[in-house]
Amino acid sequence: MSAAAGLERPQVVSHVQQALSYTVFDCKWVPRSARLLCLGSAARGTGLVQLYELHGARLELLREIEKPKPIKCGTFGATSLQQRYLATGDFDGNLNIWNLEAPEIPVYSVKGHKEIINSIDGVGGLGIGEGAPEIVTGSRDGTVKVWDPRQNDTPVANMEPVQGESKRDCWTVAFGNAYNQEERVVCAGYDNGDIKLFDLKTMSLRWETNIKNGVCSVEFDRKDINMNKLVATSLEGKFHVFDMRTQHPTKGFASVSEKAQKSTIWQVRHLPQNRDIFMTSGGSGSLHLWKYEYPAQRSKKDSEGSEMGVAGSISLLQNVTLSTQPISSLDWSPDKKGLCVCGAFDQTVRVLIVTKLNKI
Amino acid sequence: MGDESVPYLLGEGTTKTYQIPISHLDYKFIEKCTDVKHLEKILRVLRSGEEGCYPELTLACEKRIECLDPRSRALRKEKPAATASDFTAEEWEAINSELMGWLTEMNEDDKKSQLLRTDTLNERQDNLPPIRCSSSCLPTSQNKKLQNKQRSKKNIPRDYSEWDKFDVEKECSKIDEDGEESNSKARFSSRTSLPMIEKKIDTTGMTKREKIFIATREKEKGNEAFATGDYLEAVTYYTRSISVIPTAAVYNNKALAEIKLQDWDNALQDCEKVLDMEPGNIKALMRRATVHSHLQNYQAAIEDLNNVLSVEPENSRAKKSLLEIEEKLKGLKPISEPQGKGKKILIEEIEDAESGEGKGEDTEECERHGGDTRLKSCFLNFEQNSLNRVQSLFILCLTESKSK
Repeated sequence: MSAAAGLERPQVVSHVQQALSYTVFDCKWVPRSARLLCLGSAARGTGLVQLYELHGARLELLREIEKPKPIKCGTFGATSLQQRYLATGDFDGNLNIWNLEAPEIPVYSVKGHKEIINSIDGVGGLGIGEGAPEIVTGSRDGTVKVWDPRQNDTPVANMEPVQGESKRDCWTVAFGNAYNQEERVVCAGYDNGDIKLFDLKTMSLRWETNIKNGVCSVEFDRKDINMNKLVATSLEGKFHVFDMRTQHPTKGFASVSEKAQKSTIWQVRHLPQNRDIFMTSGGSGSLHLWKYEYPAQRSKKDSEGSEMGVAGSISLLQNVTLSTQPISSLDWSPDKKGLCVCGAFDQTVRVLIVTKLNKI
Repeated sequence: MGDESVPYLLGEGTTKTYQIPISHLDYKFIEKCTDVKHLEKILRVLRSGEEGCYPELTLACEKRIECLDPRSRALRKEKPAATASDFTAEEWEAINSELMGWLTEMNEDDKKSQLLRTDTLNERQDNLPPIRCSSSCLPTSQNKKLQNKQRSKKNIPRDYSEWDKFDVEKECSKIDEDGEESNSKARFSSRTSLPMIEKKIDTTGMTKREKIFIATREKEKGNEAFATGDYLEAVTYYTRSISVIPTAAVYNNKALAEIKLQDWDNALQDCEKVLDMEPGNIKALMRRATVHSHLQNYQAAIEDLNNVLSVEPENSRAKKSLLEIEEKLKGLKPISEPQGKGKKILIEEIEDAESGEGKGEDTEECERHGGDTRLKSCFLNFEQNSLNRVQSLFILCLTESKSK
């Protein structure tokens, strides 16, 4: 591969590296700003939220907030563009919503789960997703709960195993299909490889499948459209892309899978400005940038005349290795195409720029 | 000693892994080999260094694999993130200054938004849809079909005393419920009907920047839907974007999507809107010419094309189209083109925020997806207009017939 040809592809440029004195579990850009948040666990077992601002080639620490319990995950998905409240899930199963300007007391607080909240997502805020702003949390206690910040104490929906069924750790949750006020789905991935799709409008399980390895991360390519694609990543370095436009009565959704590397793929994040480009982060400290290509026909009829989907193909645009430790969190800036932040278990947060995304 | 060991004695060993003959680890062999899997094995052996270190041979092997299969997984290498040294000075400067520019913009924007207070917030809160009503428990596994509610047997009242007990209201509401249930079942099993998307967005209390953000996002959604051939969806998203901030670029894209849907009237309207905002907008003129042509307003089409050529005399598409219309007018000569099969022609690229008017009307086939020239279908049926009419060559893109 000649160097010239290599430079036509998007390049991942390391812009800033910041060493932290704690374990960072999640990092998020603050919408409509050049600020980012790091959420994690301090050595003494308390939770930390650090707010940084990007100034040129360095990160300036603006604020540090300490909370009693380590924080695992956070989202801005259910807040308005003006308020920008942060919703967090912690190791104790508490869901809190914070006003970062006045973080002493949460705006909303509930002990939502009996065990750690592994994953959180929000929809209906930030101008993304029609309908009520809602937050979904998935926990090690096996349940997935949907919350509305206007309703205290009880979730508006609760997805839990029936009596007698063993509970499985829920590792990841994601909202999707929020294209009008009524429709919404929640996708949840579990440690045994189960992926379940819950339809919140009909309050039913719409689809489930098992991808054989624990599901680390699921994400729809866009939350606020008629669901188009879903990416699910797992242990053993594999990820699957499902075409969600055509559901076959028995075979479910068509998919294509790819093996990125040998280790776990911790996160998948779609580029907010282009739904067909996404990045996966791995247990070996690497990032892979992928592009999905649609097939000529997205659906075809099977022998009985039912419609079934046709999956497309995935190509690797670029890959980089940043660390020897897993990169556990990743977030694209919603405001600047190609700007992203990632947090790794080597206690470092990195701001990266991905170039040439316009040419794809 | 058997015969098999003789080659070994002659020095033709094999590698420890994969048992590849050593003679294959050679430039000439690699250049001629066409078996990608075999080359990948050779590459792995070379990289592992078990037969020695041959960096240039490894490189040659990689090049050969890339030539045969650019997507091969063996070509993936671990590498660190790029730094300034990987770019030319110009490129690096461009990357940096773009970022700095954005940072300054964000800073200013932030200061402005801090001045806005929370009154507008409360307004928005009232406009939000209600809290999801049933806080019901969903079992995580369920039969794929919705569980049928037990239909209670309707006891049809027989005599007058029973009629007295008959509750009309209750029965009516039961019927309504059942109706809804069967509706939702139908929706559940087949999603053939198009999703109902709101055409307008509520923008109370939003600042200008927020509106721009939302309008841009809707436009991007429209562009994405267009790229996968979902033209109706694209039109909806463009409409939403326009409801927040009307821009010429979005009207232009909307017109193109409507052309694909053969919605000539709306397409014409949208082209006119663009030309109201930006008279002389080349794309709008070209698209309006297309629409006129389909509506058989040939004179109007010619006028638009001439306008284009007066600004861009070298515009080959405009020239070509003009010639064709003129021929049409001369004598309705049917051009013998295969009717019913698509013809690969030209794609106009839709505008996204960065390109603006930059992409001209060049006659190039657009590679939408990574090298393949799969074109999205827009099957314009001219047969219905009569076989004598010449098909307009403003067909913007058609697929090859899919007989795969």
